Amino acid sequence: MAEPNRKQYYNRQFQMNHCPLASGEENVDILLDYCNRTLDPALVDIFEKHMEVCSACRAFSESQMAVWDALDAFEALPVSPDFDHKLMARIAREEESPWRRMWNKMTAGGTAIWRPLVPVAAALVLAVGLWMRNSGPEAATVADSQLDAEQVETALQDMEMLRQLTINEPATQQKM
Amino acid sequence: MGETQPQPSSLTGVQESVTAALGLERDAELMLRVRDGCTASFQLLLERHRGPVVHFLYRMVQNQAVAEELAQDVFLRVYRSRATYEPSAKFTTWLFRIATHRALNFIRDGRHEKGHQSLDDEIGDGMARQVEDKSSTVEQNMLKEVRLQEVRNAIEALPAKQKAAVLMHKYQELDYSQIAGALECSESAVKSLLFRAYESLRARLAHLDATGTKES
Repeated sequence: MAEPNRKQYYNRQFQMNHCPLASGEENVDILLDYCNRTLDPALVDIFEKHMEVCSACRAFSESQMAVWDALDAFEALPVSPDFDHKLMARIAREEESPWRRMWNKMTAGGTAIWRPLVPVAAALVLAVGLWMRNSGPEAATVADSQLDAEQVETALQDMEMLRQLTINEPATQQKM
Repeated sequence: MGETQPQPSSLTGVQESVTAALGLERDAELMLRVRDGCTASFQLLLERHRGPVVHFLYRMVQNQAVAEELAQDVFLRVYRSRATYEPSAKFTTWLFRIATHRALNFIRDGRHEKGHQSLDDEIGDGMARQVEDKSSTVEQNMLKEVRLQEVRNAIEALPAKQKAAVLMHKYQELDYSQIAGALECSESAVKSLLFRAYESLRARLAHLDATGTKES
């Protein structure tokens, strides 16, 4: 929210006795900013007037300010003096890698030369996919026709055996 | 680990010329120069952000050696991304997004516990440096140590995302939109995270008064 709008908004809210604590977690920024001493001075006056009549906000502010000050105790440690040296050594090692050199060449000067190839590659993939889809049924037909030929051949062999059987049977009957 | 030593910085000429070209945000301008192959600009970026990133990660994982290792990964990632860098967001937001990812991944993978094995030594080491004040009495130093330990424990107990939000808000002084950018969530979600995190911290730390002693 822009600052003038924010001021008007809170002015209106406080005139209607709307407490920021009662209007949802996402509306407590005015409280947090006040406790962190980062609130716009114009809003500080408005909020302090509200706190004169709102014990909940007063209690919140007191405990939040205590926490804010307590957190100051957690100081960070100084960074090791060889931090940069180690980092630069890692970068140098990586730059020596042939793959990295190839990648750097491809992306040199902020213009990634592989980018125009992306739609071409996508079109190729699509074309191959379509070709495979279209050629699928044909392959199945070929397989089907091979299957048919085998079946016909087997059937013919069976018929030949039956025919020989029927020729031989009358001959044996005559001998008897 | 001793005191901070001056980092290599014979870059005044570059710094001036870069500052003169302030069309964009300064960091974004530097990053674009890194993209064009200027390693001196990377060194400048490193000088500007090395401290904040390491300090943020140190408070996230509470181990200086691990924090520096993670910070190295962060800056390496920045360097690797130079060719594809687009100044669409504030550089700090982008940098802290990478740092937060690294820290959250580290915590999620459970390597955090491993890092804690050496934490006691480090706490001793760190505290010795933090509370060293010849004018302080032994009692005052002990009270400071107790206070620091309580603060560390209270921060450590926060859920990882709340912890990241509080650390960026309190110590790095990032605004709500930047924290939202770093955590990849909305501003109102950040405010909710902060509200809940400070609520937990108030419950755990409100008994400490301003001088570092426990209130009865």
